[in-house]
Amino acid sequence: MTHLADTDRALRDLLLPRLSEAGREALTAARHEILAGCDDRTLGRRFAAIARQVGRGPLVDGQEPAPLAGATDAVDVAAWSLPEGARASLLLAAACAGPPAALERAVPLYDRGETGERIAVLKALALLEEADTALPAVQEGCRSNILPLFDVATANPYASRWLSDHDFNHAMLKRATLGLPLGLVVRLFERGGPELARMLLGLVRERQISSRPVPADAVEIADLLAPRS
Amino acid sequence: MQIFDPHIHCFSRTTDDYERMRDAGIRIVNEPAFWLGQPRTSVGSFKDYFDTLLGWERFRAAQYGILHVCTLSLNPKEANDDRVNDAVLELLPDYLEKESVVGVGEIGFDEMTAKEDKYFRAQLALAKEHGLVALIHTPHRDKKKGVERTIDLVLEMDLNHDLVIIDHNTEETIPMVKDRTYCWAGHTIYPQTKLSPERATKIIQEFGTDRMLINSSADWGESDPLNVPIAVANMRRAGLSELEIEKVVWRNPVEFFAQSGRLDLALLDALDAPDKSGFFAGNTVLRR
Repeated sequence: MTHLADTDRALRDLLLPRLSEAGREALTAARHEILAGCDDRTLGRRFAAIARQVGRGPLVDGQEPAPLAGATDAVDVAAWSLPEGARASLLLAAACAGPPAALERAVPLYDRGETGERIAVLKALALLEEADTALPAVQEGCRSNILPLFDVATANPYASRWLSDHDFNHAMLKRATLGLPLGLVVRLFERGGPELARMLLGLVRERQISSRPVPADAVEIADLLAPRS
Repeated sequence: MQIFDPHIHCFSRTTDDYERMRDAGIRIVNEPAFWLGQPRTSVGSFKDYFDTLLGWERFRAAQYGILHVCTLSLNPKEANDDRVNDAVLELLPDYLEKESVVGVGEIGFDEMTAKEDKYFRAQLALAKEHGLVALIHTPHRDKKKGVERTIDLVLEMDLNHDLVIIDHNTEETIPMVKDRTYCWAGHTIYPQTKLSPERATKIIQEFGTDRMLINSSADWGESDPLNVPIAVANMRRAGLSELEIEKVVWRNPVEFFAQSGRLDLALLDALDAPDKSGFFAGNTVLRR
């Protein structure tokens, strides 16, 4: 029994009270279309337009929501926006609609998406099926220098679960290079090890030599990854 | 004074320019899709270019506290190129759904060929279908005839003039635009081939500030992304009031592009204190 139906319902329970009547109608209509089976182009257009239809603002207002169940990890949605929630809801509808898997449909959505859509895709991946199918989207996100996009690509449970050791280490090193925190990366200490510690300490040394700022948590994390005697 | 440059090709400018633009008061830029200086030979180049305008360019601008929006199109020159024209029109409708896209443009005539006419009409229809404004380029050669034909087309297609801007006007073309239409009118301040700040000021003094916009169209050629602030100074010296100037360089472009329903001025607050670690769409990357 997968988590998909329960997570789909839990996300809708968070979303629907936050939407206007028009927003609810738009979300419901898009979901019906996806559940009935629609092509990638239609999915792409609904995915793009839904942000305007549900409006700006946070997904939750006030109390901390329970994390949503994902394929391999729980997903914390406390910092999600309404458009991100709505877009994840469309992907969950695709997952519930049956083959092809939502992860498979997520890759062209990412490819054709503008930055906000790409961020929403990456955030939603961990909620979907348990497979590495969407890794190409994560890898592209890891190559990006659009900071908010890169941040989400490298600090989400799907990336932590499916990136190769090499790609994970390089993603973490690039985070440190760009001044992004490492401590919040899911499964950092499970995936990272002595090699990542070496790379981080190498970065620290480079910065010290060039009298440039040292990433705040690099030394601490490196020590935790491979304690120096 | 806050400034909105409604026509500038930031793709070809460096971050030095963004820094100077912000210092000079430019808060919003609209970048119309255009050609790259030499032909693109496949639709993939257009897709990557559209993605760049929506993605990397918008992010670059945000690092300097500037809200970057764009209009997308098959430009007039490449409308003639069968390697790309149909394929771009096939791609375009999906991209017109994107939030950062505030219009269709720049479209129009370059050398007034039959193909340019065909794709100009098709994109005016797309703009109408998607509820977006249309940004119309007018030719730099045989301009009067080009503007005449453009106006003929706008009238023939019975477009809503509120949703159309006819750009790159000169002393010869603005009377035509004003006599036959109530479209918005753009004026480009650009050395050699377009207006000087003084000429733009005189046009505004003669025709008033209603529906009048000015832009730099700064690109990879000899041009200046500060030409709109320079024109502001010129208008002040010529005796236009602060309210009149602000109307031309802020309220008019905001009003025109807001009609597409995608321009969100609330984003300006989030961009107000860029720390170069990433402000985008109101979300700070540093949130823990």
